[in-house]
Amino acid sequence: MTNEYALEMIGIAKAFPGVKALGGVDLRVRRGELHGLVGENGAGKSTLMNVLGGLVQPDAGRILVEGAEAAIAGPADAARMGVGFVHQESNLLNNLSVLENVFLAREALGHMGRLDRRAMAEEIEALNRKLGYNLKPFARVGDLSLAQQQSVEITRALIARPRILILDEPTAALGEEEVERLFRILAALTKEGVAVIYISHRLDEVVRIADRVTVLKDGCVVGTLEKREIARERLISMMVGRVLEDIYPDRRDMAPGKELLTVEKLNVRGRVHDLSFAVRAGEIVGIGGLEGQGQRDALRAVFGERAASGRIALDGVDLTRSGMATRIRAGLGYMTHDRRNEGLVLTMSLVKNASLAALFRLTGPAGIVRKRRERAEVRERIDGMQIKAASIDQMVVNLSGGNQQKVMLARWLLTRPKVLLIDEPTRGVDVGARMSVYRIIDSLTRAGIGIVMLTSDMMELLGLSDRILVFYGGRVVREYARGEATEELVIRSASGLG
Amino acid sequence: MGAKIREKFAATPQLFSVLTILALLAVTFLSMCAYSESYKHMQNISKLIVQCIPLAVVSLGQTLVVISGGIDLSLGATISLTTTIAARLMNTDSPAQIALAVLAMFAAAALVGLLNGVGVNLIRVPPLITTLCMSTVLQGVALWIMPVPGGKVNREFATFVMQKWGVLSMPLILLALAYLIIHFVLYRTRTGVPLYAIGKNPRIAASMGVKIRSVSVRAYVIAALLAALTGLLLACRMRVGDPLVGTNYTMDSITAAAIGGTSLAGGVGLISGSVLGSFLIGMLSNMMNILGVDQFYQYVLKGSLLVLAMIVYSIPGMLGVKRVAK
Amino acid sequence: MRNNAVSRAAPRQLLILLCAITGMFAVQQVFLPGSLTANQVMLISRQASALGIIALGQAMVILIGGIDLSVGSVVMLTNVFAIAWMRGSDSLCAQVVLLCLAMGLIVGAANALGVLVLNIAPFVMTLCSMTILQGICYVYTKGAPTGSAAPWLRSLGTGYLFGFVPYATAIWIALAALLSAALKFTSYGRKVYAVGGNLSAARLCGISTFWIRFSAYALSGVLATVAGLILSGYINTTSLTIGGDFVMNSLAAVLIGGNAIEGGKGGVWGVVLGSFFIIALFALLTMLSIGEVGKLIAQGLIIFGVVAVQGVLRKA
Repeated sequence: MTNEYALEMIGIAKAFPGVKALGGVDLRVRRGELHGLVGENGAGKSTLMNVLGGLVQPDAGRILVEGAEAAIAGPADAARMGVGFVHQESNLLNNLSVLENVFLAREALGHMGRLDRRAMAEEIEALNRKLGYNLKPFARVGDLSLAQQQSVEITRALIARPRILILDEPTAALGEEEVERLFRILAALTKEGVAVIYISHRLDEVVRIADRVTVLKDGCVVGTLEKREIARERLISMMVGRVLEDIYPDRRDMAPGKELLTVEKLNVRGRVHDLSFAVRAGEIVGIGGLEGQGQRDALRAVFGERAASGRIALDGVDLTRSGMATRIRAGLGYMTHDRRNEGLVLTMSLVKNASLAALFRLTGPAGIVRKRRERAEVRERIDGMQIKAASIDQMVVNLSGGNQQKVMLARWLLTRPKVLLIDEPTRGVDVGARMSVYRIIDSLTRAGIGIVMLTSDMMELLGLSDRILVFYGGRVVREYARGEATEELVIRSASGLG
Repeated sequence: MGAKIREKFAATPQLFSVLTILALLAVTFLSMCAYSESYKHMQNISKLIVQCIPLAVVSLGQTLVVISGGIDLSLGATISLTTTIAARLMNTDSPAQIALAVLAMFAAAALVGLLNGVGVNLIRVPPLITTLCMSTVLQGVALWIMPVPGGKVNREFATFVMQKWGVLSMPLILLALAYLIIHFVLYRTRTGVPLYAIGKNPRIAASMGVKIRSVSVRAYVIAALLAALTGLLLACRMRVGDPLVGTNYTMDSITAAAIGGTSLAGGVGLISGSVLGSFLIGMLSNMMNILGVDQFYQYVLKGSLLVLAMIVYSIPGMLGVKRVAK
Repeated sequence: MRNNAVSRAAPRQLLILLCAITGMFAVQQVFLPGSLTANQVMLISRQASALGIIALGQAMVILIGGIDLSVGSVVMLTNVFAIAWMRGSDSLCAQVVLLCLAMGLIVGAANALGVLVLNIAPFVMTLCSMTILQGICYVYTKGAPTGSAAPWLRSLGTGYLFGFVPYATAIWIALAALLSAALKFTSYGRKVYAVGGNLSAARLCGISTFWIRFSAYALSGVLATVAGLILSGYINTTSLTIGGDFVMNSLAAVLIGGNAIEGGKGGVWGVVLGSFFIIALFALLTMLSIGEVGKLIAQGLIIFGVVAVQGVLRKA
């Protein structure tokens, strides 16, 4: 009875400054079971798995692996306990080879304590054959595609013969064939008795392959469903806790105004081909598609961050030859998806981060910043968006994900944009703040601003967009109007099936 | 066949830099052979090689530290320190005491490396400051041991260490040994790959289970030991100890590593490149001496060479698709 | 509250420095009673002004995430050419000063272009320029420098403002005040911190990261020149060792002053105090008749100690 479960996580709690990520979560996974873990952005899935993987220390709770108490103080402990982790974002070292990444910190030793590269290469080849991969052991990981990098991570996890395998959003960058191959691999693993934890936003996949599913919401377990109980609508209602229509603002009354942004024949070498679209005042254009299909490059090219050919005009002004500074002044803004690395300046305060793109508006003679005006405008935005901070001089690094996202939004609002390009509006944002962000975006459009929204969150894409452009292979392959699209249709288009 | 070569290049982009230096070395050497009489004599070539070896040895160590993402500004002072220890303790005819002296040199160096490693990894002071302060302290200690160049290194021992046979010499053998050992450590033990890993991205490396602190300390210790070997070579060549002899070696070792394709950002580098880089620097100095170039112009040329090397290395990068607008 | 710990760290670093300086003065008073006078402090400040001005430039470069190893050689370059061209008379003084400033600007610009256009690591690029400049100096003087400074420059280097404050110190503090004001109050200052804190983010905000970083290197070159001019006025001759420890000491001063080595964080007054601290430390060790050996060891240990303590407190 005690060994029925490969893994038991009991009462796991974790709080980060400003946000309670997990509040007493129980998770039990049986041997040989494929256990789905679902929940909205910020529900706590990643935090829970990071606890299991030793990357985060819980404030409370116990972990039992096959009935025995496990103390996981770091990734090495987790590995020793038989936990394998395939991360959402590539967690590999680009300067090293496939072989070196797969065997890092657990290299095979031959005689005299030397590295036995041949043995390691052979193991990789063996696994290649078994899994259907085609990885060259000495290829540089930095040169591989995202899908191939994921194969490397899976290889690394499996080489260690894990008892528990965690996969975080594994199919985001995969095409249909690769997805099927992954499912075959997982099926084989579970037959061998490995417990698999499968985190995904793609509910159809979870419904298809999971034996049981646990739903997280706001850092707590809503419930665990047995195989026969698993159904998409049930999952959604558990995840969301309310009718879909309530989270997303009602935009049925919105009629778009004049054309603000015109993009004609945009070409980014090797990434985007002949892209043309327009954005009208008060409109939300949603952009969807699989990872790496050129959407991000397109958006960044429109903003001027990426070299491209084609024509871009904003409210009649041709911006094709202009740099980013000029485009910002003309009324174009771009909010990056990567808050940490290219969004916020973590060494600066809230107010200084917020005014960073609008300095051209807030500077007086001799280049002196009009501090009073700056602070007044920032304060106004903070109140308007309900950003929770001790003061506007607070260091931005200590804010919660949701508040940080709002500070970035505030930054762009301060530039008085006409069109705002938003890349992943709610990445890493907890549920409470997400509704708030949606309301803000909605109110922006009612003030006449046009929004282009790139998102990998299907619910968000379907719920918020007035129009949806689906990308595949660097082109828009399908356009859907509000109400026309469903999750299945969008996924089909995103996979290149029309 | 072509595909295999391309693959090998893709795996180690630094190969490009190594080959470049090799080509430069060959060109320099051949042109000197044509121009100068002295190059045609075995013993002059041997002398030239021996002159380059001390820098090559210490560059090996600097390369390791830089690959791991750090930098060691105390290697020069370590060299000076070990020559003073040598000159103080090797002024004797007893082989046992000489052996002890060698042991003392390497033990002192190991301690220095350990302290550097601790300062950087445990006390968390940036490598630049840690090794800089260590350099100042060691310089003081060296001057305390020997305020002016002096002491004496036993003649037989010194001759033994510096002996030559035609083109070959003991220093060359020592360099080769050091190179082979470091090569072994870097490419055949569990210390090697983690060094590259922590230099590239310590966070990811840690999440994959690499013990960052332990690996980093090892790099500093090995570098210091190599500095001690350099000190041994210099002490035997000069037959005295000199508290200031190592001063230029710090920057030169970094220059040699940079010329050899090691990136100061970490995670990238080939020790063969650094060794070749040191030889290139030594050979160019020698060439300029023979050509009667003003000693002072050599500074200008050394600096320009480095800039040139950096430009050449950035060419492969520039040939890649230019994706980002200004 | 944890939230503001990081922003409160900066004044804390200054506090530690002030304590260290006070401690040093206390030691001086104990071992050499009566030697601590206002005049003596002024003398130390004059000695520190060259380092102080250079450190301001170094601080700018470090703020944007770079490093400048060529500052010592720029001082030497300025010294060699200023003395050689002035020939001890006032007639060409103004032109020579301008020419030297132009040279410093060119060096800074060259450094910037190497780093920003050719993508050479700042350490390597400024190491190159350092070597090349050294060579130029040696070649020009052929190892035997001659000449003397114009009287105006001499008075600048040795004279006093209001009979009490050395001109050198006054210039140093004035420059520091200007720089501090620029960093705190102007949009240029904001952009500098943004570029140093997160280059990609600054770029995406429409900030011209090229010109901001260029300006830092250029400023460093010019400030090193100013220091070189003042020093030349003071020593009234050419010295090939004048470049000395300026690189290492300026780096130490910047870090002791609480600036982060990665950039994006730090201020001007910490660097001012840091420069003063280092020179005062040297002076104290000399006054206590501690030999070269003791001085070196004490320097290394104390500077390391200060940075270590600051690091510990930053995390607390």
